[in-house]
Amino acid sequence: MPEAPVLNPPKDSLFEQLKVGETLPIAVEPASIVIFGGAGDLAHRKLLPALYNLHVDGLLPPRSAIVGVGRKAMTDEEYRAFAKDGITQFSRRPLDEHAWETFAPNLFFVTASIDDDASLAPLGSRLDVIEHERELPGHRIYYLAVPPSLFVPTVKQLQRARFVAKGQGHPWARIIVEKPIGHDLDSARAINDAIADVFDERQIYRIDHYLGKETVQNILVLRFANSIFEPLFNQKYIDHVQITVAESEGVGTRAGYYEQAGALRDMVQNHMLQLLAMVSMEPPHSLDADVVRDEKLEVIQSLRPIEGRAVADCVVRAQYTAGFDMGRPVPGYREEPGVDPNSRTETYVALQIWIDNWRWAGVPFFMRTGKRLPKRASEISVQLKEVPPILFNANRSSKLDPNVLSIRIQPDEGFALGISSKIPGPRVRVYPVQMDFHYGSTFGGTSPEAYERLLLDVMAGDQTLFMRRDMVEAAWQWVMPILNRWAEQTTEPLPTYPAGEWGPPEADRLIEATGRRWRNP
Amino acid sequence: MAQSLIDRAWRATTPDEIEPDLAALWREVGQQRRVARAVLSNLVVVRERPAARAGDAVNADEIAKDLTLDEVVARHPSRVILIQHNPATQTACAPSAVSVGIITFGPPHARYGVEQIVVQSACAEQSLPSIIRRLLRGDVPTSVWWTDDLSEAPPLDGIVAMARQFVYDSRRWRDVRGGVLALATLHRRLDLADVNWRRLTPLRHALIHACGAADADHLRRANVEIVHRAAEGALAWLVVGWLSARLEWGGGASPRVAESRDSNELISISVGTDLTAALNEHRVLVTRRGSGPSFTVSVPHEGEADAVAAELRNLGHDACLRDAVTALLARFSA
Repeated sequence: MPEAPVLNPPKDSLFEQLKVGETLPIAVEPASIVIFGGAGDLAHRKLLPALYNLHVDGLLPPRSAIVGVGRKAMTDEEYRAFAKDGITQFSRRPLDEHAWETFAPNLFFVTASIDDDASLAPLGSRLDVIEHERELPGHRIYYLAVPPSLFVPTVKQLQRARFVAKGQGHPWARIIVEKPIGHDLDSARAINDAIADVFDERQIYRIDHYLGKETVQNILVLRFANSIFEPLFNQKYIDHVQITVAESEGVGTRAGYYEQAGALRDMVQNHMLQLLAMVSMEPPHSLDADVVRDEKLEVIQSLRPIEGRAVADCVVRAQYTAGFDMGRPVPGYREEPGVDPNSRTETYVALQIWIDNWRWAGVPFFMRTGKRLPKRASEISVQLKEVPPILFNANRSSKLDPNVLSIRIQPDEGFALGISSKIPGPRVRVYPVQMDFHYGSTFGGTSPEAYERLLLDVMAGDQTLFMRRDMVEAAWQWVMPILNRWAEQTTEPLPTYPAGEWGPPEADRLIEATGRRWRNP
Repeated sequence: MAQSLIDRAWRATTPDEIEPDLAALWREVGQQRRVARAVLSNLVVVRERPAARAGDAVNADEIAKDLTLDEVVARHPSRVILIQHNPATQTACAPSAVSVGIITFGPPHARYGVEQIVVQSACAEQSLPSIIRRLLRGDVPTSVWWTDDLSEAPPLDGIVAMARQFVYDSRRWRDVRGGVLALATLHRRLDLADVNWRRLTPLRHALIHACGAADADHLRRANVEIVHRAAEGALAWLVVGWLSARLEWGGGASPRVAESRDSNELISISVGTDLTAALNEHRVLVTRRGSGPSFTVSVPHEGEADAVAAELRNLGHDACLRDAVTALLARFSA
């Protein structure tokens, strides 16, 4: 990622003179961070704790203002109490009273709705006052932590209220949009069009929080900063790649959203295709945001379409039934509150994917994700081809384990390389051992949360870890034939799996038909 | 392994905080001294015991009493998942208590640590696999070490299905037939590792040497008598299974197996009047009449921890053991 993005002050400013020779960890200008949905769950659990941690680390620019916006009537003091509660519960660091005392004055709340044209007027006047009092340059970040149905209305209100000057002017305005961007290709295009009416693409930050995780960023470092791996990442040496994103929780309180989404829309179209792109992309010629994103886009555009009958051959969807979670009985998906008892929404999906380019021709990529799997874990495992069946691999009844590079995205972040080693002793016996790297025990402390990194990047104007419009739409374009095929199949029985198990037998057959097996994280 | 070289760090936790607490423990241990995290396999140990009272802290030492668990993982570093399970419980529920620990071994310049998760379960059998599945690491092999008497406490199918290897000790069997029958569903799909079978290795090798030039038909027709010390019945029957498989004895062939209360030998085998092989703790003595000189094969000194660790390192199929068990299953099922 680019170091120290460009700041806007004039070249001969005092700021410029003072920063000569300094290595700023990341250079950002103070701004107002306006969170629509500021009193919501995302702000409570993620955004406010992330901003607090940036403040503790000295990375939040001095005088920055954090302005929550919501329908609820709330005073600044009440909002600060709300933030404190979220930080106490969800921050990676325990709340420090001294740090809180300096962070809290940055928090404000404005009650506003987007129902009518004048609704943002109070927000505008309040922002003017705050920015004047804090001597802020007027840069603004608008964070849409609201349901997707409110993306377009909110952006239109920002336009009507003249909050935004399109382009990268000074002061600048940027917008952050949470996934899901649309329900299908058409709705994604509609949202993107509406936002593009108001903001230039350089002002739009589409968040996929997976990309903010240290381990995901480390994929590029692992591949392109180590000469041992990159020469192996191609069809000559790689047998296959597996990407697993497993959740142990059920649908919980998200039934309303999930019933309309399902696992393919919720996880594959965004997070998992991003992971796939990171692990399979060509080396970019620089770390410029668009150079990196161009290479990722190339991968998505090289995916072999899964259409028509191929959907049944390459994709398995399933739904969890009643089972156990860590010993506790849990209900099936159709028994969850808010779920249609006849629902056909998939809570699990497994896919066999081909990337039709020179590097990956003939190498299958297997993906699976699901709810109510045995554990919460995300992992990419790159399995190398077997050694020839001679010497140490000559015994057919006990073949050597293949070398596997496994990248653990969460939890227990790190990576491991499985290699075969001789067991000490007079006989030649081979055992699979792990060369293991753990962030926690190697670097100590706790890694920054994804939202910390991503919010900082927005402030710094670095779009590398955000999804560009063409990427979002290319991903939708690829999943649409699968969704369309499923939409036609309204009566076929849906495979099931008991909660607490690693998916349905159909998914095992999908991979076992190729002579391979799922590797559980 | 000298006790002074072992350190432990433990903390009570909850089912949902196992991994974060383990990660925190690793950080704490790492801050005190340089420790390499070592894990060659998952080692699942299930102990069927009455549940402790609800709210009681997990006492790992008490659960692992009479096991050489520390010694085993010092030799074969594993992520230990130690489950105390009450088989009488019928209700599905979360574990009643959990603790996590890190045990470190070795001298300061080469210190390594292994992690242990101790779960006190008072839940029904059908929900137990969901606990263990959550705790397994997928990137290393999984072995189940069944420390109870298989003939009285057969393994839970949902648990062994997760394993690649099933380690047990047939010496613990009070009822050999019951123990063998408990393996009926396992021996084809898992790598079996019987610590007791390992003790037979010198005897089997000695017999192979002794019979090297003998006529197989003669051996097949000869009267075979196996005498064993008290509590070594399983060892004797394993020999029967092995010979049955290798000599293709039919169901009618029936070697005589007898217990001797005053024998100095663990087991002795007589093949007709020509050959006797006797195993004790130190050697195998092979005596042949007229067909060659007698000889001895020494028995390596190996404690339980050495044996279990050696089996854990040996992930291949033991075709001899599997064939012996298959033959015994045919014999005992008839």
